[in-house]
Amino acid sequence: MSGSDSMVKSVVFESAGTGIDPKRSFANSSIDQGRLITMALVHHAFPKRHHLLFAYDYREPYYPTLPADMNMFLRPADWKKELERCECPHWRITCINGTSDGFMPTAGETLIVPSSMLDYSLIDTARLYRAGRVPVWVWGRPDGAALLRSGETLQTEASMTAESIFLEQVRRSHPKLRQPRILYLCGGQAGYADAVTAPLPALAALHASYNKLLDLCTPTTLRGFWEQDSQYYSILDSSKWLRHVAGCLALADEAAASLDANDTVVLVEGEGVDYCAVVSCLTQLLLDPHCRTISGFQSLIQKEWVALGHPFCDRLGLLTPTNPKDQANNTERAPVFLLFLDCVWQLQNQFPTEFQFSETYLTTLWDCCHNQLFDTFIFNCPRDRELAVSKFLYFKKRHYGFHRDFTARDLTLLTHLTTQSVENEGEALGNFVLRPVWDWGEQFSEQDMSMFYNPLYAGGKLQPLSQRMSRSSITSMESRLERLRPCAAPPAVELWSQCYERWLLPLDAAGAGRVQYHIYNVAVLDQIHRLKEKMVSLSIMSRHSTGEAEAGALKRHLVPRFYPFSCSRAQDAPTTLDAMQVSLIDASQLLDSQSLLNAPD
Amino acid sequence: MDKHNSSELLNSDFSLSKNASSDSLDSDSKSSSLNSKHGQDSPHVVGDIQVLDGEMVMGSARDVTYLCPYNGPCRGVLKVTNYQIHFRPTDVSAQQGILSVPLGVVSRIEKVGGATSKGENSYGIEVFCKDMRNLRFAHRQENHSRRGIFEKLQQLAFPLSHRLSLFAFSYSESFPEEGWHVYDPIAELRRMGVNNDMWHITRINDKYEVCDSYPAIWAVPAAANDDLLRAVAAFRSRGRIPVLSWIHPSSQATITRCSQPLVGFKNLNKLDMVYYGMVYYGMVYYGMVYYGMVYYGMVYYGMVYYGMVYYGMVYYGMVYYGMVYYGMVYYGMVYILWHGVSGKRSREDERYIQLIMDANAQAHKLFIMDARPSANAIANKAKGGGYESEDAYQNAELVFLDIHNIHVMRESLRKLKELCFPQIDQTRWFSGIEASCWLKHIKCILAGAVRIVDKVENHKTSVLVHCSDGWDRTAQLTALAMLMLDPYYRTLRGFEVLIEKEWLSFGHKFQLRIGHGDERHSDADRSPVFLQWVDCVWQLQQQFPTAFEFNERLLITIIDHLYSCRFGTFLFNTERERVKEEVKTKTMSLWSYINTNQELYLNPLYWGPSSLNPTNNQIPYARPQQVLVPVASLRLIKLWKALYCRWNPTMRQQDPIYQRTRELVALRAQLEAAVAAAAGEHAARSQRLALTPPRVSSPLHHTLV
Repeated sequence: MSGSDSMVKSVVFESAGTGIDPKRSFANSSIDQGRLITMALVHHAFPKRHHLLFAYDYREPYYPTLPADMNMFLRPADWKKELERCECPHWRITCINGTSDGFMPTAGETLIVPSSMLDYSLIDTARLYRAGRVPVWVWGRPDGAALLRSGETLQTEASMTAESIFLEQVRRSHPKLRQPRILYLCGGQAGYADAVTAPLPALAALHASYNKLLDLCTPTTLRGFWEQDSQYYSILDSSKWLRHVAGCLALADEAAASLDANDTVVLVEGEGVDYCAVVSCLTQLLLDPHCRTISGFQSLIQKEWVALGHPFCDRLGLLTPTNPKDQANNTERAPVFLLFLDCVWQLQNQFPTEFQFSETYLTTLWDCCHNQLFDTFIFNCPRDRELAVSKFLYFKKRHYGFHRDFTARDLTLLTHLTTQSVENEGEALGNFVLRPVWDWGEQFSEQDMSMFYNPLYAGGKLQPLSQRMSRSSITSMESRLERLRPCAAPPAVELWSQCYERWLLPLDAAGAGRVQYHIYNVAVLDQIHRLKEKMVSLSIMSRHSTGEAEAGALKRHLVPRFYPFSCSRAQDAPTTLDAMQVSLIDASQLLDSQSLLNAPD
Repeated sequence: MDKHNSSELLNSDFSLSKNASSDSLDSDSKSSSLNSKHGQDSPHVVGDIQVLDGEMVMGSARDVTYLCPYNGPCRGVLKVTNYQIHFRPTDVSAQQGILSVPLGVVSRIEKVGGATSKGENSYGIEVFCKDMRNLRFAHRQENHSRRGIFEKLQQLAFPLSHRLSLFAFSYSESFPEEGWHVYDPIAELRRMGVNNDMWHITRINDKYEVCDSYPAIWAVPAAANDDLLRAVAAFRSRGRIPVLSWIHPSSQATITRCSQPLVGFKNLNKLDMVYYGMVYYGMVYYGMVYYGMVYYGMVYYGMVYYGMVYYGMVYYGMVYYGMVYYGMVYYGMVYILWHGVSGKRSREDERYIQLIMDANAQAHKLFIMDARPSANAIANKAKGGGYESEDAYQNAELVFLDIHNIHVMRESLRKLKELCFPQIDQTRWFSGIEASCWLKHIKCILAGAVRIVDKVENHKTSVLVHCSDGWDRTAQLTALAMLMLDPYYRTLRGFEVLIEKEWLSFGHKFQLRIGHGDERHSDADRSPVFLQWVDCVWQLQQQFPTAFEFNERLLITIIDHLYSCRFGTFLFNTERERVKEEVKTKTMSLWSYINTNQELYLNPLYWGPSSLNPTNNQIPYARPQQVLVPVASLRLIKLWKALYCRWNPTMRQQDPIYQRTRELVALRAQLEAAVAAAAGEHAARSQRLALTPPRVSSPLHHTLV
């Protein structure tokens, strides 16, 4: 039983990060029950193969209802739309990566490269980059500057030349022929990095940092909670998490500043799928107001994380290696996406009126990375996703005579498979449907989803009053590209309380916390809305006698600090105080060695 | 700070240089209210400097360079008035850089460098301020150019040390609101339902004879007669007997405050004496060592060369003696605890405490909250003080709240200042916060207040709070607990009343703690006790953003004028002194200034009834949250960057939320007015329609009329 005990412990710890109440334990249940539950948990919480993920089991039919202005970046046409949105004529779309000549196995079929770059030279150059990650366009400005992301080059003589040739093509894609600026985000090329503000950590270090943070945010006992509390800042500091967040923000700010000065920026990092995505997304959030809307943000994630192949499956550790040793030194696992969401939260915190989505939206998004129901976050790259779909189609065709002709691409993919493996997984694949997480209606009610919208958002139809009065409509184009200037110094970076501390019961209190800003402003907006309606009804139906309800009081319901996440007690219950809160404050810790008992009063 | 930031600094508006534009409604809290006279009051312009009523330019120096830690050196003219230090750059484009610092915030002025010092800007004056910044001015090295201004500064910044009067007595501006009327002790007690069966108002201290640091009007148990009160006063340190601070409207549980009982020791034999002596002198010497360190630390701060060596020697010597003294204290304490010698008793005091307990019918117990750490409370016995023993006081339970004394707090804030000014050490930010212990002290005070609230609210038990003298930690605790318990104190007016009552009338020694106009900057009586309490209030505001009618800006304004000496509110130590000096007639009240511009200090997110127009009950606001119970955890207690880091222009504030909410609320008000107007019109019209006989004229005709 001892073995399974430790397993239970690991289950409990695992779930802490993903948002299941960590306080549950099996102390009170009988041994067999405990084993049974443990087995089930181990089976479902630690799937060993991809096709055991819940997405393959989920049989609910899916009816897509994505917003029309959301770009999924699945087809070349989607990329074309993005190129047109950014008004960047000097770049072209190539689909060569989708053919048998594909050189970047972890990216989708569509890439955007300098117009002057020919496909065959792309293929040649790609051999000299790690994972074939040549610099590809992700975003641009109408006046010419573009944002590119790339992997590192291999350390050979030839690669240096190839890189400079490529960069020359990038330079020519700028209408003013300006030299691109290269930002090295992480990795061994610091030797010729020009200005690395705060080098980002290796993935393993990031993971370790996250684990320390997790320890700080998941004390198992009340006593542990107050003990951590007495040295909270040094533990927080030793986790270094906030430093990494600040580092990403600083790099993004630097990239945004260059782009704002109309310089092309090339982000370079190892295989170009981790910090590249973080910094590139943040840069676009700083520069492009469209990305700060909900659909814009979702498109951004589709583009930078999904289409360009961030290995979600590896980074989130969805599959448990069969060998426990591998599990221990799994260097692939790292919460890069969380780091990104945290950075976005910092931006939200610094610019509370600039984002259409709320912090609840970000937290929910992080939770959705773990529910394994949606295809968005369970694959390592677009090719894996296509493969899963193709396998499913192949299986259907064989067994049910499903009428659909395979495209040439499907066949290419299928040639990589042995029939045997398809047969084995066939049963599981029988129901597989691509179900993007962005269809929030699949998971949440309208009321829940209203928590995703930031009531303070000023970019929508409700312009700030002062702006509406002072600025004419002509300047709106200018303000469109006004960049946010975040403060990336460590003192300006805060801990994302809602995400990390929401299950800490001792912190909960009615009427407390940031969520009150949200609730209050939603109430005020609601009143404004009703008043407007009343105005309209008064002016239109002036003949009718008004028997309608009053515009309404501010209905106040007291919500707890971590609303809507808290698992707290009944709201009105009187809060009795645990003596722990005070008794554990050790007087001696308050004193530095010098000041103890320094004088009678 | 890296290169990239410094270019930004030049563009960003610089908070030192607040002038009219930056003090508009929508810049919330960061702005320094010290200079806000330019925006609000009628400014008088003398030469190129805006002065207050009663302010005069007393001296000036040309060709001075202000060494701004953020924007770099800047040449201009330095002027001194009887109220402020004023610096105006000669470069017109740098008009942003106007510096205006009230002399009240100056803690110390020093000459830097000599006539022969080498290097640019090495000769000049350095001004150390109480509000977490230092100003450095460089003068030209010819002709003793700094001498005149230095002497003027010394004289004007420290008028009390030069037998001059404070600026508040020269300041003569009239405000439409009269702030001295904000607090009326009788009205405030009546608001809480006193007199009632159990409590009544006594004027025994009308001439401040029973206790010179207490107000003239007390609320005490109705059963206590004057003789009893006098007898109790004799047993309490400085006559500060337990009197009522707050009474629960439904349960009648009370918060009372006092000073420590004069327990001391009785019948000391020789051996006892030795041990008490050890404790007492150990503590005194330890304290001296400690102050010495602080003093030398301050003197040699910035002088790197031989100061380091000297500092090091002093330091190690002190550590050594510190350990010896610590040992003395420790063994002495062990002895005392071991032998458990009891102190003196006072039957009257015990009876009086019993009366306080009996005044609350709901509980048969009384909690005595001693704000000190138990070690300090024991050590106080050696001086004749101490704490109530549970043997002598039946049904009373004693709790120590472990809040440290003024010296620890002062040292903690000094460390915090080192961390926040001038440059923030980015790599040491969190460890620096931890090492300063400031947030831990805040946590202790909050936790103490939460305990009081818990006893009063949840257990319906009365609480008696004291520390040593009952004017520092006691005021912090009672005022904070009252703020948590009573929504009235969370309104703008209520907050002013709270400060007037718990801090000013009960004799928190503002003069000693702040040192208005006094040049003894290393005086051991100085301590940021009130500032610390305001920080606690800010923590509450942060945790409950909709519970307060006032905003962060009010708190910062209060802090600014705590030092500025422009208003009479925070002058002197006690109510008695203020009456004697006729503060109410000779000076202005800070509340006059604040209430005249109160919309600047209102929180747009406030969710409760306004104190400003109490008759206006038609606003359908819900009942405010009655009791706030903050979580005293460092996870939630934040550093108040808007106050401690406010001179640093890179520290961004969260103004947009307030600004945006304010806009939304304004829009709502606009719509409400429009709807009301439209509805009124509509009602009038339909009334007319109803009254009109149908045949005589058509409704259309009527509407045209």
